Amino acid sequence: MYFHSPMKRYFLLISALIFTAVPSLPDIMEYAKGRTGTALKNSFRIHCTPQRYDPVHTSQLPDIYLLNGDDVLDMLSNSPITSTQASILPVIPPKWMEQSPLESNRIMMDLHNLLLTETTIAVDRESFPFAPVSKTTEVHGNVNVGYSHFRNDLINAIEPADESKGNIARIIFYGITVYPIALWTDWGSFLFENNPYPSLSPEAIELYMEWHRSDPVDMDELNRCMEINELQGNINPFVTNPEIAEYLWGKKAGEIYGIEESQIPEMLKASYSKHRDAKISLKTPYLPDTSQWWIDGKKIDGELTTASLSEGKHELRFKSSESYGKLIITITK
Amino acid sequence: MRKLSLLLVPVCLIISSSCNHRNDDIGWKLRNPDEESKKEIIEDNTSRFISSQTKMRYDDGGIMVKKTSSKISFVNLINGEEAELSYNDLDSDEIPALKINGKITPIKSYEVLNQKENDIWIRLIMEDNDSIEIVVTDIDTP
Repeated sequence: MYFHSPMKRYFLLISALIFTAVPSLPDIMEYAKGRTGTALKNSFRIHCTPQRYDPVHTSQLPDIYLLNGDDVLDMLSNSPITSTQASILPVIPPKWMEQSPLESNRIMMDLHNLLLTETTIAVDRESFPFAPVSKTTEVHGNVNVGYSHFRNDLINAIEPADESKGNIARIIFYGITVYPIALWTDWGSFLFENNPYPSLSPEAIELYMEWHRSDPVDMDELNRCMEINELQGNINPFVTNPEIAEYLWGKKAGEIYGIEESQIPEMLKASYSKHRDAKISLKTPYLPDTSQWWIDGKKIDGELTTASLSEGKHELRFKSSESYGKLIITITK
Repeated sequence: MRKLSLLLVPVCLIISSSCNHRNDDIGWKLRNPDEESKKEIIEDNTSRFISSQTKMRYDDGGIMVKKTSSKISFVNLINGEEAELSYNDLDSDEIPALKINGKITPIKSYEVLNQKENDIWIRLIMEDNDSIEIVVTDIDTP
């Protein structure tokens, strides 16, 4: 961690106090509670995408990374550089998203994805992925560019300073969570998988979870996240709530986030097992509790049980004061 | 005689190539990809929301299809994905609003491909020229 000037630290402390009171922050985690796997990841995709994309915001980066006087923080080497030496570096470069011009334009305006680093490093990085470098071709202080043994292959790579590895990992987690799936090209297709979850290759999970754990979030990183939230209206949830990475890709993967399993109210589901589920709850966040229900054309009065239904697919229809619709549920043994 | 045959060869080639060209034109008209894709969308009666990234088909199970006077929505109860189309009047020129997983997704243009009582087949063209099919059928009666 690089120590800021007393004035800057004072400002950041005040801003942290103000921003921790941002009302939307606890709500985001409320949406995540009780979810696991794809649904947990989707809750962050829904609630943590930028509200505003504005190219003008990138001019604020030197302020966000400002240290003393004209010096800014080179996030890759974790050392000060003058602002004239600095270039903007996207952690997830637009080249990895060439399939979608819309999304590749957006990621170049998303401040959570952008860092400042020395211009020479930005040039040497090209669009290489971040990984441990085993054969160095270029050295920039404690940043190495070269080759990495990754996925049983020798690939081009860039390795940041140890103190920056967690920051990079959390930006990767953010990008793969917030941006749509199935658009990765170039080195992006090497690290990311085109599926809704886990979306990271097994090797990328192992590498970036290790970086995430060995370099935890510090106050400076949290403050920067909140400053960006002020500008573009979203947080990086892996910075504000670093534990969620463990629930998605780490030791708690597959576990329910935020509450005990026994505390979760029964909700309407897509499928039921006669062996495991006795009742079919018609409670759902998408409809009022007063909705009327029919199953296979027969009105439901009272409790619906799996015992009353044969194995296979059954059609539920519903009607409330405002809406009507349908759903197929599956009953298994 | 040899001169005549030499003359006949290019003439035949010209006739044959012009005939092929005419056939190609007719063939192209029959295979108009846009008309074919519209026909394919209309011929499928299953309620669904299909984009390049999100596929929700009612008959797969676990897909809740919901309609109000101004909204069509699809929810995948298996993975929590949601899509919602809001509109005032689908017969007007006013472009509806689409939210996918809570995120507003700008629509460039839309077309109601077919409409029968409460059943509707819609195609949206997005800003990146991706197209989305939204079909809602057989929904109004319990």
